[in-house]
Amino acid sequence: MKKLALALTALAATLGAGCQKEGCLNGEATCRVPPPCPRVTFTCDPAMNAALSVSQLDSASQRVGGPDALGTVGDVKLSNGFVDVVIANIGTQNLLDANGGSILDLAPKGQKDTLNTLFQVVGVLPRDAALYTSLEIIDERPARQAVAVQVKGTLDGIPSVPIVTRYELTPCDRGVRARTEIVNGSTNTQTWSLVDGYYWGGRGELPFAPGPGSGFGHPSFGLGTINGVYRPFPYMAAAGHGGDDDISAMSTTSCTEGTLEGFHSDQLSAAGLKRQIVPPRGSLIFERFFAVADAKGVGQAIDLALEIRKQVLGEQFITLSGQVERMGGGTFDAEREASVLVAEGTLTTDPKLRVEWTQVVPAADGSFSVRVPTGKSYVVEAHAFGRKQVEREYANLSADTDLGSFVLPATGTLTFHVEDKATTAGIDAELFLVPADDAEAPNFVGSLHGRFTTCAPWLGSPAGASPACNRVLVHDGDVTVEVPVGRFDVYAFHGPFWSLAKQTVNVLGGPQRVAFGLTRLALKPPGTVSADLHVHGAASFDSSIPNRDRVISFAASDLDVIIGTDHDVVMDYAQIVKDLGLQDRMSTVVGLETTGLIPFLMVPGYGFPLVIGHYNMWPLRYDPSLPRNGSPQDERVEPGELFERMKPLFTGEPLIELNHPWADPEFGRDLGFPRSILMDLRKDLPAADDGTRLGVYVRTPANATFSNDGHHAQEVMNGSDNGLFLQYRAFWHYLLNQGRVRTGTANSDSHSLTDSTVGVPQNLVTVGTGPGPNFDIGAFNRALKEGRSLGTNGPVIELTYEDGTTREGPSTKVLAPSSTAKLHVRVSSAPWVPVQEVRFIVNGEVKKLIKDLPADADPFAESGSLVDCDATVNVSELTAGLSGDAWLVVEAGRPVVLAGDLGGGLNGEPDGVPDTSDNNGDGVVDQADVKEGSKVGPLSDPTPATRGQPGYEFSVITNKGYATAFTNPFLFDLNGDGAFTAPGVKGGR
Amino acid sequence: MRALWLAAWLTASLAAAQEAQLEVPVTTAPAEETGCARWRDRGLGEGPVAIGYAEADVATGRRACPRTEFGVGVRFGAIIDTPDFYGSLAVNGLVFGSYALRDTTELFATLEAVNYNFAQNAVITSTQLTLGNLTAGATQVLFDEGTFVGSVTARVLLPTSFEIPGARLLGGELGASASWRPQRWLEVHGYLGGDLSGAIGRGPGLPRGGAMLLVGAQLSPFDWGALVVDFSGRLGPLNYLAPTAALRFKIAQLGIELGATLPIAGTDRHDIIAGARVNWRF
Repeated sequence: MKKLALALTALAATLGAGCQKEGCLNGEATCRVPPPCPRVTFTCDPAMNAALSVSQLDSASQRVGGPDALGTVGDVKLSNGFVDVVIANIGTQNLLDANGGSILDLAPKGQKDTLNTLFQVVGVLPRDAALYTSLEIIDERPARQAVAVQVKGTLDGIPSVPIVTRYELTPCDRGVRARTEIVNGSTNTQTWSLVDGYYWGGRGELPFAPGPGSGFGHPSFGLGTINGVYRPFPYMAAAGHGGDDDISAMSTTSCTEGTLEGFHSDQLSAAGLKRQIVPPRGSLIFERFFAVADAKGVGQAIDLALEIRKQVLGEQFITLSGQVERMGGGTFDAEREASVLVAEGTLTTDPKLRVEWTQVVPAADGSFSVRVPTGKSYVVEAHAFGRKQVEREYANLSADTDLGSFVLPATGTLTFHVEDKATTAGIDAELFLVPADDAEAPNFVGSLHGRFTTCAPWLGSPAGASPACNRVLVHDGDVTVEVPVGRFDVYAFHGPFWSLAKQTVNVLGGPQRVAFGLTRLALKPPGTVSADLHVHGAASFDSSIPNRDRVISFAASDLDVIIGTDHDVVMDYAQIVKDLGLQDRMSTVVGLETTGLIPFLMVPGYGFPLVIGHYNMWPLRYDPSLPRNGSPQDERVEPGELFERMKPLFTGEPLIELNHPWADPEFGRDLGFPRSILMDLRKDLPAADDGTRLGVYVRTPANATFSNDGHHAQEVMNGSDNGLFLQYRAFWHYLLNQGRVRTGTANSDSHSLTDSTVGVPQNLVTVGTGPGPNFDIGAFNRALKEGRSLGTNGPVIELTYEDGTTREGPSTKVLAPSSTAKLHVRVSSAPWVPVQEVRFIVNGEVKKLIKDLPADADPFAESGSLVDCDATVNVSELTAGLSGDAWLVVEAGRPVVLAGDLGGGLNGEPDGVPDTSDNNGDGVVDQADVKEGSKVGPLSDPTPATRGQPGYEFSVITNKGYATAFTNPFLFDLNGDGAFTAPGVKGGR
Repeated sequence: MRALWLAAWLTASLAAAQEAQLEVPVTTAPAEETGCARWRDRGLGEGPVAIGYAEADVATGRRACPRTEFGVGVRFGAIIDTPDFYGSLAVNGLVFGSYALRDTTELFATLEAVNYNFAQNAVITSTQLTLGNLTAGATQVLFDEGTFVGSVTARVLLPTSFEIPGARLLGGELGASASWRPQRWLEVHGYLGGDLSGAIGRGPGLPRGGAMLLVGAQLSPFDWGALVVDFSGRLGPLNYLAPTAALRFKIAQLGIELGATLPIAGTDRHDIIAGARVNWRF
């Protein structure tokens, strides 16, 4: 027995002595994570040592440039002669980074940042994200030419799991090194996927990761199916596709492993160690290099990734070079005009199985060169305008190779001119190109290597600068763009209250000029200003339209007032408005869209944590020296507490708008509070929190004076296609029935030129102020709060209440109609906006329908009557049969679809919100209408008009939307008690 | 440093056990009369159910009486915590044996020859198949008179497992076992033990200890079958109060044990641990 004991002692001593503690795994307070990626070296002029720096930003002027730059005063910037990287300070929340320590900005030196955030997680739940609580700036000079930032913390929901990350820069690095260490200090066996999370946002950088059938393409997935789409890949790259020069590219390469593992989508990527079981006391170490290149494609960043793999793994690469040319000549330097994709395989290999290794945007002279692994056969594809034009096979390449020339088809150089016919002055406008022959349309369908939406023709990235998709912005009357050869209908648009013009252009190649004249139509009622209260620019994590194009698009829709509502960051467009000379006819207001990204809220009966959705708020102060430019920390608070945080930030009459209340969630994050908390609109709201989900909606959180329903306005229409109108409207009507009167609004929520057109829809606000230097935001907001506005994507409803000498428009003022009270309604619209019916809705029910209104004969007419309907209706006719008070709104436009509520609530119960349309056309909404495999739905929009039908042009402009306008309500005191008493869910019937 | 401390503790524990063996006179009595020999059938299992919550046989009650046997078994553990979006399944293929050096001394070992783990964190899953943990130890009978047997046990957890990234596990346990056999068909048994384990590797040792008290009884109405019910309570970072039940059978010298346990209180999250063992007694 003594011998056994001695042997064990010796064993333990040996093991103990032989196990050197690494970095910060042992948890010492003064520990340092070892320098990451010691096998990776770059060389440069020794003079570059002087450019190495690390410091906490102390002024907004030190911020990295670019639309997605978030780092500001207090955050830490690492720089050398090649790269700038900013680490979020502790206590600073940005997007999915709860408390700082993430990479906020990553850009080539002096260039623009296009990265949203890059952060560490081990899983998909909020508890699995790193919550860093301390930050240390490390400057190892002169002993070692290196500067670093080390952040320490724990997993957000598991305090017993410490995690530490070191970001390091040495003088010649073309990127930043990182090493993350994590220890399972808990008592539970865990499955961890230690990865960097990249939040792309959906319209920003696109991830590229080589694999069979992958590169730009990746398997789609939902929150519940992520595990099935994990793939190994040798490196990951991404580049901006904004279409301007404000973009860069990056790549990530492991410094220790042959592959990374993760998943990718336009929204989010994860790249890191393979998923693995980590029992208690286990630890993981992840070292990687984030390379950065000033490039428009991913190729140059991938060149760096291959250099790193050569140093780490000994993997050899070769360089492929070549030239693209265009028939008829011309220069390039734009991804839309030429993009070269290199994939492993042969021409006989199914393209879906080829391994895409890299992609490059040729220089202005058409030359390009990229690195690829040696010893493989490649297919090289040259793309233009979203379509593959040329492909060639190169077998068994094991040396640097000149690929020769790739000749692309000729294009037309089109100069478009748009002018106001009345003044002949050039105007800002938006052009929509459509193949003139539907049969030819498939020949023009393109996409950005299969990503984002497809368009015909594809003139540029749908998410980026003009030309985007099939849209072209015109500023001050003229623009010149390259267009593929073909025959196109070109529509010139200047807002819903102007005529629409069309020219059919046969693009032959070479220069051509096309001119349009537009006429202002007498539609906008006097005393109203047009306003879009919800628009996004490149500052939003899910937008990459350059700010200049964004503002031109405001003017192209002839808007008076625009509220800038970028996600989670305050943005001020005023300087760009001024630069473009638009300040006398347009007013932009500094606002914000708070955006819940970190689930936290638990509601009765539901087991998953939730976010509170999105709210717009204005007017605010833009302060680039503050985190998020002055936006509040908006995560993990209920709406009431968020409103409380906003209170000191308003610079004038505050307005809070509930956005898209019933929108579908994105990646498990709801976009609207009512749907998020699974409200059942078949039940009346309680007066206070009664422990139900409806109680959550009305309650006032601790530390707040606002209730969760303390917003002033609610979107009833959102987006040019008017999708989900029936659901948003159902919630608005529910609130009116509950006596919680909120102003209904209509906004584009445009993030690009493609997803929605700014100003379609919009609000016509009746207020005694106009756009320009004297615009009174206080008066504007008060008018909105009083409900003195109309929401529309084209039709204009002028609704007047007449009772004796009383004349009133819709507002929150309570009216006591006499037996002779009347409503006068006049509906008018541009000839290209189809209005077929007028609906009078009382307490949520259509009480009167004026239908079968005639269509305009010529959608491009510039004169003639614009009036679709002019009628007078007795109020008593509309309120007959009601037992109590009533509210009334009027709608005009196309008929809405027949829809019903078959489920959608908790446990599949009906919830009072329409979810299924009469899809089989039998006049009844029932289970027979439900798509196979689904429990409810789809909720279809009205069938878009086809070419030659009335409304086709409207469909082109609105992404197949349908014309709709609605007034805000009249409130009628019918029982004579001097107040408006809410009718409840039964609507007083 | 922690590893050295751990080794010293283990040494002391084993030395104590050896001292006990050397110094305590053991009363020998006719085989049929003494506690260890007073048993229903030679092939039938005895002592606490050998299903535990820790590695290999750590923190399981050890029987008081030495015997020579060799066996294989399987242990299955499951945690299904839906509200917390967590799940874990562990399956161990066990090889175990003991050798009665003499009537009062037993050497024993248990190896997780196959260690399979599945864990799910929300929607992310992973599996692992490795060699598992090995324990080795000894039991010394200190008192064997009439119907009562008392023993001390020591075992060490050896760093054989590859399941923990960056670390190997080392540990030990000291315990005392008791068996009271008032009838040939009834055994009341107990175990009081303390254990300590820690990691050796690139990360922190994270030493964790625990103390366990187990009481139970085996009812053996037949030569070929018995029912065992144990109650155990453990203190430590991972603590629990857990009933355990097992059926024991024997065919000739082949013993079979089918058992299960589940915590009814404490921090341990297992929904169930179940196991089956077959062994041949020599």
